[in-house]
Amino acid sequence: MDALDSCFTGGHGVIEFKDFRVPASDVLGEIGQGFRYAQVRLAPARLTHCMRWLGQARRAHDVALDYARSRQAFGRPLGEHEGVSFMLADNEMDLQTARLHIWHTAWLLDQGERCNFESSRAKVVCSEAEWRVVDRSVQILGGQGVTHETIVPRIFADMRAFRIYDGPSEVHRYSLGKKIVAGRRDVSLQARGDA
Amino acid sequence: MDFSLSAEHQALQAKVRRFIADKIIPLEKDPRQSVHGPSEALRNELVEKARDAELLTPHASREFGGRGLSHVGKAIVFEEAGYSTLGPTALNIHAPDEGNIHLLEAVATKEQKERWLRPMVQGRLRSCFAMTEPPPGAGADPSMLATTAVRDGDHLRDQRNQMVHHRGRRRRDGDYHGAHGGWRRHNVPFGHGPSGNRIGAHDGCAG
Repeated sequence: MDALDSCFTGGHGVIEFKDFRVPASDVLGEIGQGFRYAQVRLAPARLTHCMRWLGQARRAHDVALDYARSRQAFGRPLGEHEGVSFMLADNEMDLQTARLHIWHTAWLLDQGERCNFESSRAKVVCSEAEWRVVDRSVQILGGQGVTHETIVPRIFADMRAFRIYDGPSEVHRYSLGKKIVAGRRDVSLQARGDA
Repeated sequence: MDFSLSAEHQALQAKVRRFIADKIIPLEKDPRQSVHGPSEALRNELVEKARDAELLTPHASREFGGRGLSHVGKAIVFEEAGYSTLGPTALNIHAPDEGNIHLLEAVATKEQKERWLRPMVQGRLRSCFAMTEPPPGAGADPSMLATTAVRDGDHLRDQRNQMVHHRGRRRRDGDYHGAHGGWRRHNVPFGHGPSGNRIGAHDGCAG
């Protein structure tokens, strides 16, 4: 199955389980605990996606920045034109916002917190912020941004799926919204002894 | 509130940054890439480079050959690796192997770890993650998962025929190893199951 992204060895496929038998010794963990195990896997895995794609967004930004500094238009570098400089500034803000969400959530995980709420929040923020960075980088590169002369359109195609897999933004917003209404706050804001 | 990185993390950040710039970015235009990602040969070459640089699978525990990175450590290393489209493949920290390694470390038995986890950490085995099903099964939300299994003697047997979309991963020798992302999770040696099994790639992945 061809997909928009081409960064994973082997890519994507469709498989069918039919009359499939798994020896008891190959069952992972206890039967009936799958959803709990999925949480063990998914909260940190959401965040590692944010980390890898942050690197990709930073790369796209650096390529666009390099172009904005060297390409001259109307007697000055592209980056000195306000329209482009504002996009570079917005990229910087989005990159740092994503990084702070990642570092803070990673730190909480290192303190032993489960971070289902916080990693969900970071996933939405990072996938959307990092996407905006790559989209702006294409825009700054102009015509070159839609060719494969640079790595940026490749990153653009690869990253789009990040707003969908490991839970689309909408599923995370819905889940966050439910928890917020139920009184959940960022774990850092909870007073000691406050459940 | 302290945002400074430890000396160890700073050194690792510089090491990965240099490795990506010197060894991996030059391969980004390698022709051994298609819509199905890097070829097996390119992937193995990338992994070999990370192995030589002692940067392979850094998030795995020291017991299994990794660096036992903390989550903050991962944040530093993974961002640097992500600077190249091929970086996460080289360091063996790409999805879904990275998360599957984490889960196997947390949940698998000693025997399962030797069989699956150790070769994954060594970069010699890849895994997949099956997530979505045809209607009315799961799409975006795993709470819709419909694939189930029943106990049948000392085996579990699937109860419903389902097609699932996964990120296919193939082992060097052609074995598949699937960590089924269901309510019940199984290690499924794809394509080499006990006789009578049918687990087929309806729409195969290249690689």
